[in-house]
Amino acid sequence: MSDNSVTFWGLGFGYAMLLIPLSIILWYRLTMFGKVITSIIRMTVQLLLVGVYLQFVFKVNNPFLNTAWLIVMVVVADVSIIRGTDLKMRQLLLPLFAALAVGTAVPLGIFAGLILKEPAFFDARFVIPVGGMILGNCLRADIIGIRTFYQSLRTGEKAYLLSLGQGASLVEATHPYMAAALTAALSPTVATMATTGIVSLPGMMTGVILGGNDPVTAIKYQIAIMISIFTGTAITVVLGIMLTRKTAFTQFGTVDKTIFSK
Amino acid sequence: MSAPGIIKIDNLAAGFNGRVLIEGLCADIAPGQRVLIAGASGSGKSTLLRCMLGFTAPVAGTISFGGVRLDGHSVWQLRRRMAYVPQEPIFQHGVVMDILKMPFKYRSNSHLVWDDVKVEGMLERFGFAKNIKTAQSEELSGGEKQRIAIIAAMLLDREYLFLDEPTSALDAASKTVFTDIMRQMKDTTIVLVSHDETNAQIADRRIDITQYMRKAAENVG
Repeated sequence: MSDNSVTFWGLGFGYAMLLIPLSIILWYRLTMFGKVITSIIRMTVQLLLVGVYLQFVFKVNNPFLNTAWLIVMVVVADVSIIRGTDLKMRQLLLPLFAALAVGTAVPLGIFAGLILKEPAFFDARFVIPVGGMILGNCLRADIIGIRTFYQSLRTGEKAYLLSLGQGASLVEATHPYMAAALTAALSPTVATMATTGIVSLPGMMTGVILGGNDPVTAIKYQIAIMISIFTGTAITVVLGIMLTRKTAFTQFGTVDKTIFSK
Repeated sequence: MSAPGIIKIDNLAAGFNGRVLIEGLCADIAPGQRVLIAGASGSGKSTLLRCMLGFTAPVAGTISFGGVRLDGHSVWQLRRRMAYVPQEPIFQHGVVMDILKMPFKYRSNSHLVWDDVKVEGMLERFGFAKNIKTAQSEELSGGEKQRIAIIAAMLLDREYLFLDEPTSALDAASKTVFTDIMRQMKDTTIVLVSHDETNAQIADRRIDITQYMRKAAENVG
């Protein structure tokens, strides 16, 4: 295969392409101009730093370093979820960390151990990018799921209390809200699975093709990653709700209102 | 242990959002008694009911049912002996029949047997047309929701029945049916919060909680 990688000059043209959306933003006097510039700078700096770090991680390829990096990714995702849900950090940080860790580790373990021809549990080249893809989707799903669960309990408190007053256990009384949260959290992944290959060629598949592999190999990777993401999001959302239920409810089964930051 | 079924309220203080509404409330409610909780708006009547159901933790004092003190552990067992009709019932999504059947699916109610004839009879008694069973909960009027909530509570056949303004949206005919049914319930301890004086006919005792209201100034700071 010919070397068709992105040169620094080429990347310069990529940045030049930004003139188009920035002109649109300026023309319509959108207030987001400053935010866009900050985001572009942040993206560039973060990716440069991660690129340097990942080069080092891939070179060393130490299982402990790989695991430590994955844990850092989970912690950052954990904090992002709580910030994205208008909930307070203290009671939820630990349960959501556990949910994210399990939700990422289970499909990642199956992917690296059983799906790949040769197990690659400790190979940074597989574990970190695939783990990142699963975790990123778990993060998105968990923000939607946790927010839907607690906000619908807040707005639907009367119906919830009626269920408790009719003898429902905590699990039984929260069941409709759990179902609503799961539906909301999983729907984007379900929709993506339904349109993958027709509407869009996903990132991983594109990456594998650009890496010089044939489309059939890319498709196998993509199917495996989509199933891993779907499994990870389902586990994370269910576990996230189940584990936060232990800390976000009073002993009497009512929602502890101090968890809401607004 | 005191006699089975007696509700003992001992030196209760309760409120919400850090504001104490009532304090120093003591009362014994004997099994089978029908008690009307009276008092001005905002005096803490509904708060008292919420405390008895374990929806609001008391600020001070205790409530016990048949000698069992209501706390975070016992509440789950005690709620199996309670039924509740809220002031403005809101149900989960679904048709009326699903709403009525839902409590029968709870593990704590596994001893209850669904009786189609009884349900039909109660719906008819409350003046519902046959097609009400398939009506969506969101389509129900305030009065219909209240009647459905009352029927759902009756079907549970509990030892304690807590009602919060249960007739506020009912017409005269439904109020009469409600009064008749309450009067027939000899073995159930009924605690009723109401401004509606027609409900005074149901009660054989009245507790006015105005005397237990905490003065607003005492909540400052």
